Amino acid sequence: MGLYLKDQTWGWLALLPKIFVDAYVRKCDSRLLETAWIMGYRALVCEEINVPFSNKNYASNSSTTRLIRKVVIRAKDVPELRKKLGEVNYRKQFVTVQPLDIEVARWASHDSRIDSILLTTENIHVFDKKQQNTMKYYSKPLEIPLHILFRGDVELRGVIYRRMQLYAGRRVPVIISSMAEKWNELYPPISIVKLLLTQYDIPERITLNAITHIPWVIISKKEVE
Amino acid sequence: MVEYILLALLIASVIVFSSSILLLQKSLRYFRAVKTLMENRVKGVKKPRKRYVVFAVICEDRVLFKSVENAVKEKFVEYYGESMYHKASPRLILYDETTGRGVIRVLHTCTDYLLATMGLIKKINDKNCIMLPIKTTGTLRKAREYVEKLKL
Repeated sequence: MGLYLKDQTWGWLALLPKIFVDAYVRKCDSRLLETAWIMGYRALVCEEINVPFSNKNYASNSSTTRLIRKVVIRAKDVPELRKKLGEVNYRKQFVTVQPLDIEVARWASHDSRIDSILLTTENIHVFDKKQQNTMKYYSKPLEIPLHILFRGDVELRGVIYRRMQLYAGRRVPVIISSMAEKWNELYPPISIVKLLLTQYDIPERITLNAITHIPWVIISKKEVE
Repeated sequence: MVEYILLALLIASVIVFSSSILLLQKSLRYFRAVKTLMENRVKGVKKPRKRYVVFAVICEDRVLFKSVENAVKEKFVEYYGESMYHKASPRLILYDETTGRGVIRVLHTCTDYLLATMGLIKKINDKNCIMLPIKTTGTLRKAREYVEKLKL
């Protein structure tokens, strides 16, 4: 635990009524959970959980954070995706697909076992207008990790800007996640809203839904692990 | 015969009514034009107001006043440029090094930029840190009150 995290006055800060969800955290440890709770996150979707948790919740002091396991499937073709999906317990876990091929992306859009489709720098070519139409039709959320929006190549960020406008502007559900490995890689929710507003011209309402309502609806459908 | 007279009167009244509206509109336009000519003060430029953002720094170790100020400046310039920085002119008004809470003053039109910048700060003086915006107020007195509340 850090120097200031021991301070009990943080409880006062977390009296915010909104339920913020981080839909992709790589490694969840006690320090990260504590920081997330201070920031206002009430549910986290973690790929690797390094804390003892039972009955879906992680409890420390007075805080309770809901934890869900995340599975990210990288697939180059449809048979590979189908094989990997067969091995996943989609009723308890948050299933995200990172399609590396257009065919996989189309297929992932209409599979009900898949919760979201991940956009990264590797597979940005997959997300075209037709994919947007398919995702909108099946209400499949597009997951965008924050680090690709604010770090990296300027030209690539330009491409991401256009994709964001195409998807978020045309009512495809969007989920924003931090992909954090350490506690200091998390983003405060208000900063996420303002960052996307100032740098990507995304309206506040869309970003708020992307970090509260849309991931929370998916999480609430999951069974207790 | 009476019906014809009544009809003619009706038509005449409609014409008079519509022409009076047109005249009223024109006279209003002239009135506004004369009014603006008579005015001494030029409208449109608003007085720049200030906003005070209460924040908390969560850090591995204690960080100094100057380090926080530099970290904010660095990130602001990196993401929004120097011209926006000069316009916003964020200034660290108070910072308690022991509790890690403080107040930054910024131009009211640039509050969003400052809040966004705070989220991007991940390190201060090579120490793992995050900066958490808590509340935006219009007066320094309220901001101070909020910082005092947080200490309780």
